[in-house]
Order: sequence, then structure tokens, then C-alpha cells
Amino acid sequence: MAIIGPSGCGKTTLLYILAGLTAHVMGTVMVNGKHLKGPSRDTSFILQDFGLLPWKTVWQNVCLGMKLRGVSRKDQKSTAEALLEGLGLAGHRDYYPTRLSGGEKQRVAIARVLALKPKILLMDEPFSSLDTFSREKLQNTLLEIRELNRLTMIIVTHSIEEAVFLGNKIMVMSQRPAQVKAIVANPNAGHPSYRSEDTFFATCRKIREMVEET
Amino acid sequence: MNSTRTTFSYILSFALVILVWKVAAMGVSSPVLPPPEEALHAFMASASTMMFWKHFGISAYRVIVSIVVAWCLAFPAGIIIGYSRRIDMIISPMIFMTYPIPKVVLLPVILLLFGLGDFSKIVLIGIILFFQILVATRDGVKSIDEKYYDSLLSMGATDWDIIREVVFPAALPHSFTALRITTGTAISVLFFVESFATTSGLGYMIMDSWARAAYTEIFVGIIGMSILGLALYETFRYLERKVCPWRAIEGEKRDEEPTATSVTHVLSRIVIYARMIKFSHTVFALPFALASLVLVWRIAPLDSNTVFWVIMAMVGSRSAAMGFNRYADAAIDSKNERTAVRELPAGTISRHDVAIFIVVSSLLFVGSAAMLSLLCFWLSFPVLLILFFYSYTKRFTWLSHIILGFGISLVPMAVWVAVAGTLSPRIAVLSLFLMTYIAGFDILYACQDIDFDRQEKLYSIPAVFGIKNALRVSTLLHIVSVLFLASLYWIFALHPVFLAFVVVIAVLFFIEHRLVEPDDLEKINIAFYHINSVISVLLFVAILAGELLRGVL
Repeated sequence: MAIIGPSGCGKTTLLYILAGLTAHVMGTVMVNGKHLKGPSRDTSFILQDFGLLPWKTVWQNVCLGMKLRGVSRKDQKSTAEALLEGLGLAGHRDYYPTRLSGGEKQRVAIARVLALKPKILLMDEPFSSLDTFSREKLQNTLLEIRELNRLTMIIVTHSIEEAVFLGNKIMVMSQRPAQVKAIVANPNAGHPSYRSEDTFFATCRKIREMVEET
Repeated sequence: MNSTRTTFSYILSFALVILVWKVAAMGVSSPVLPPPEEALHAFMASASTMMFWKHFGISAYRVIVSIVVAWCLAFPAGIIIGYSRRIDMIISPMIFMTYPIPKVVLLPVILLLFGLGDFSKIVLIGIILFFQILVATRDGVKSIDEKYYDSLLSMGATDWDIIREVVFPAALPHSFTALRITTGTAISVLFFVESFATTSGLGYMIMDSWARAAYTEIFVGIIGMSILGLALYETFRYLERKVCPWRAIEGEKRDEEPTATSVTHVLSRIVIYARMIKFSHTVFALPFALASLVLVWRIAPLDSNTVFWVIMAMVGSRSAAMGFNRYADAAIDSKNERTAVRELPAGTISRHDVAIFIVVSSLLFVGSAAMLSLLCFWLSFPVLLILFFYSYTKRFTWLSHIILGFGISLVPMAVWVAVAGTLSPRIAVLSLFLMTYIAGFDILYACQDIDFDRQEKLYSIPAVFGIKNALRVSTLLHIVSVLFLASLYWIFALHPVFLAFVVVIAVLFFIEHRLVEPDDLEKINIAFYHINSVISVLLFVAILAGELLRGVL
């Protein structure tokens, strides 16, 4: 699912509520039939600027979540090695984040949450600071990861193309007071080739019209 | 890179301090302010006594214990106050109220409570440092970006996890910065507590010398305290790099910390000037002057004043010549890819600044010459003229390499005139060595610019005669220069060990020429920089050893 809407309409706040970081004022959050009280083990959250700790190396950042959950060192090692290898970061394991490019930082952040084997992945404008090429490459990577791990992803974005490319459902939010304007079904999303299909452009146009109305 | 830059700025600022001190001492001309060489001499003499190190050790002990204890208490406290909003609300107003009160006034109270021993000294220094570190740590924690907390909370972190993984490492560099900055305060308070009611420590040493009107000894204590402060400062910087390695990388990117403003600004300006005139090369040219001093020593006595002004004249003339060369050639340099990065064409310094720099350097040279003798003063003007003239020679003659060699070869003769008051054909042989040696490698250097020089119609041996011939000329010059060098053995009747050094230097010349090949000029810079610096130091050591061992074996 992709969430799109004008600045300040509460997209990020919504993610914080879903992550259990902000107490919701009214209403309840149900995850798989259970009430959400505080951060859940099944949910992982990638913040807007990735939230990598500058004083930890790539390796330590990837292992951090596992360390907090008391995963044994041996399991931390095998999981982190496999993830860094898969995301093409094996050569950067001892780098500090300041030495990484934006795309590399994002991949480290992805590795860090995947290490926790979540069922739901929340992402706040994950690719906004990247150039077009790294963005499209990482979007493809994200699709693979979703298929491989059978993840539910909720992604907040400013980019209409990104929302349409990644979201099987696209939630359009309106200007303050924030309301859900529509949830558009987008069943063809999920394949790298979708970017050049006619339905992709048609859906983009439709979403653009809706956003501009708000 | 960064550490060489630091060493470099240390050497420069040290030289600057010594120079200002020297000038001030001459201006005041009173035993109260002894000249730097006298103070340094007295310091060296003291440094070989146990007494000095006893005082130094006690002072170091007092200040280090204070620092360690203050940090161990203030850092955890700062973390707790910074992290917990509730504790911060209660404690911070108290801290900020007491913060501006000068804690040194507590000294009498502390002395009454804890006695006259080391303990009360440590307590007072400790209290002052405690507050500094506490406030810096607390502010450091407060400045942590919320996103780090959120990112950990979303992974289910507890308060303790957050303190351990985020707050502690984020606050650590702030506490180290505070330690570094408070070094000055710590040493000042140390002096204050040691200035009475004690008979040990550097502070006592200074006050005691004062009471005995032993003015030079005051400076021994002052130099001791400066060294202690400097050592602490550098230790903290080193620890900060070791304990917070991610900061070093950030530092490389930003180059300088934002907190360090005017002092580093001045220092970085000095470093830019130094780089412009390749000050490091002056350091390598100095051995020529020192070697000449060793040779002239035989016929005329030397004193520290002469050595000092010879070095100053060397630094001044070299800086002026190099600065003028950059100034005159700025337009040419900016067109050449290799030299376009130089400070003036790259716009790091303005023409106006360079002009001022040249004037100041020239004044240093003429002034130093005047301090040596009246003859030197008059001779300094034609010398300056020759040095400046060199910069224009490549516009009309391929003999420019020889003119450069001639300019530098003036050093031994100038030293001879400065000390002995006359010239001697014997020292001219050392000059001939220098001239052929430097002309030879300047030709190697010019090989890099052959295409550019031809295009700009500039004269150099490679540009006029081709690279192959240029390398031949250079080889020939260096063979001649080794012969001149070897002949010094007979002319000055030096110890045979001198010849052994000459062989080593000859081998280095050989390696230098082997490194440079007509179709591969890449290595010229390496050949130039490293080997030449070794050769110049070897020359000095060779002459020194040859002279000192003369008549021994």
C-alpha cells in the first residue's frame, strides 16, 4: 500500500501511530485482529532519513535491532552477512554511515529492518533523497524483497510515480483536516516492467487529478 | 594528511612565537624578558635535573587526577540530566545559577575543609572542570536528533538500550571537546593553587624563581607548564579520535570544527601561505645553511644569536623568493594544468595578500642580515634582486636552471660572509656543488612541463633541446656535483667518514635518475621530494660528522 497526499496532511503521523510510537488520540489500531499497544515485534519502521546511527559501522547498524531483541551473536552474524551480501554491501561492512552514498544508506537501513524478520514494513519517504537511477533500482530491489519475504509494506511518498509503481492500493489523503480521500486499487503493480505499461501511465494520471483537486 | 597538517601548523606557530618573543626581548632589553634561546637553553639544562621533573610530575599528577575524577562524575551526570526531562527541570536551573560564579573564590573554604595538601588542590581544579564537562555533556545530549530515539523505539528499545546505543556515544565527543577546551582553564587553576601554601609543582617553581629574581628560571617554569598543557590537549585530541572514530571521518569532510574559529582561521591562513611557498622545502634547504655554519665554525666562533639570525635570514629569503616566483608567474601557472592548483592561480589567496607576504618576508631577510653585520645588510639587497630576477629568466633563456642553482648556491657564501666577514674560495666549492645539484634536478622538474613550455614559448633545457638531451645534461651536472662534493674532503681536511656519506649521496643521485625515464615522467615528483630531502639532510650530517670526527681517528 502506498500513501500519498499534500505536505502536512499527517502521513508521517499515521505511520508513527501504526508503528506504535505515537499514542493515537481517537480510534484503535488493529493488527491481525489484535489491539496495538506500543511498538510491535512484527512491525518495522524505516524513518525518513533512515535513522542510521553515525557512531556505528554498517555492520553494527545492521546488527543493532537483533542486539536489542537479544538474538545470539552467532545468529546476528549469519543474518547480517547474508543481508549485506544480498544488498551488495559486503565490502562496506566496516564503514561509518557518513562515508556512504544516499542509496547505500537506504540499503543499510533496509538490511537493518529485514534482520528483524518483520511482517509489516513501514517506510517514510524512503527514496526522496536519491537520484532517479538509484531510486528506480532500489524500488526494484524493494519489490524483490517484498516477494521473497511476503511482507506487507506501507510506504509514504510524495512521488505519484513511486506510489503507483509500488502500491497495490494507493491511499490518497486530503489537505487539513486530513481525511482519506480515496483508496485506489492498482492490481498490476509489483513488476519492474510495469513502469512502461499503459495502465501505469493511466493510473498516474488518475492519481494526479485526485491530488490536484485536494 | 590531517596529522601532517597539524604537525606543520605546530612547527609554524612555534617559529612564530619564538620570533615574536625574540623581537620583544630585544625591544624590552631587560633581564625580566630573556631572549628565547637563553630561556630554551636554561630549560634544556633544567630538563636534565631530577628537581625539574619532580615539580613537573607533581603538577601533572594534580591536574590529571582532577581531570579524570571530574570526567568520571560529570559525564554520567550530564547524560542523566540531558536524557531525563524531569531531572533536567529540577537540576538545570541550579547549575545555570551557579555556573557563572567563579569557583576559584572557594579556595579558602576548600583549604579550611580539606587542608593544605594535594587533596584540596585536586578538589578545586576538579570542581571547575566538573561544571564545564557537565554542561557540555548535557547540551550534547539535548542536541541529539529525535529520529535516533524513534528509530530505536520502533525496534522495541528500552530506556537503558537508548542510553547505551544512542545517548552515550552521541555525548562522548561533546565531553571530549569540553575536556580539550578546559585544558587551558585546568592549567590556569593549577598555577593558582600552586602559587602559595606549597613547595612543589611548576607553579611553585615559577613563584619561587620570581621571589629570587631568577628571571630565566621563571621561563623554565612557564615552558614546563606550556608543555604540560600542550601534552594534555593533544592527548585528549588523540583519545577523541580513538574513542570516536566516526568523528574523524566527519572531520575530514568538514575539515575544521565549527567551534574552533579565529585561532584555526589564522593557522589555516598560515598553512596556505606555507603551502604556497613550499615552506616544507625551506626546512629541507636549511641543512645547506647549517652545513655551512659547521664549516665556518672552524675559523670563527659561533654564538646562538648568529645561528638564530642565519636561520631567520634563510627563512625570510626563501619565503620572499618563492612568494615572488608565484606572484610573477601567476598568469603562467593558471594556464598549466600541473600548477593551476597552486594557491594564487586557484584563488585561495589574493594577489594583494601575496604582495604583503613578499614584503614581510623580504623585511625579515634584510632585518636578519642587519642583525648579523652591516656588510650583510648591504649585501642583502643585491641578493634579493638576484632571487627575484630568477623568476623572469625562463622567459628569455634556457639557462634559467643555472640561475636558480646560483641563487641557492649563495647560501654557503652568505653564511661565510655573515660569520667570518670575508669570502673564501674554499666555501665556493660547496656553492658549486649546490648550483650543479639544484640546476640538475630543476631540469628534471622542467621535463614535466615540456609541452606547456613549448606552447607558451618559455625557455627550458627540455623545451629547447628535447627530453633525452635534457636528461643527459642533468646526469652530467649531477656527476660534476658529486665530484665537487667529494673534493670538500680534501679542501677542508674532513674525516674519511665524510666520503662514506658522499658515496651514499651518489647512490641516491643514481636512483633518482633511474626513476626518471624519458617516457615515464610520473615519478619525478616522488624522485624530487623524498630523495632530495634525504640528500639535503645527509649533506648536513656528512659535513657535521666529517668535522666533528676530524683528528679523532
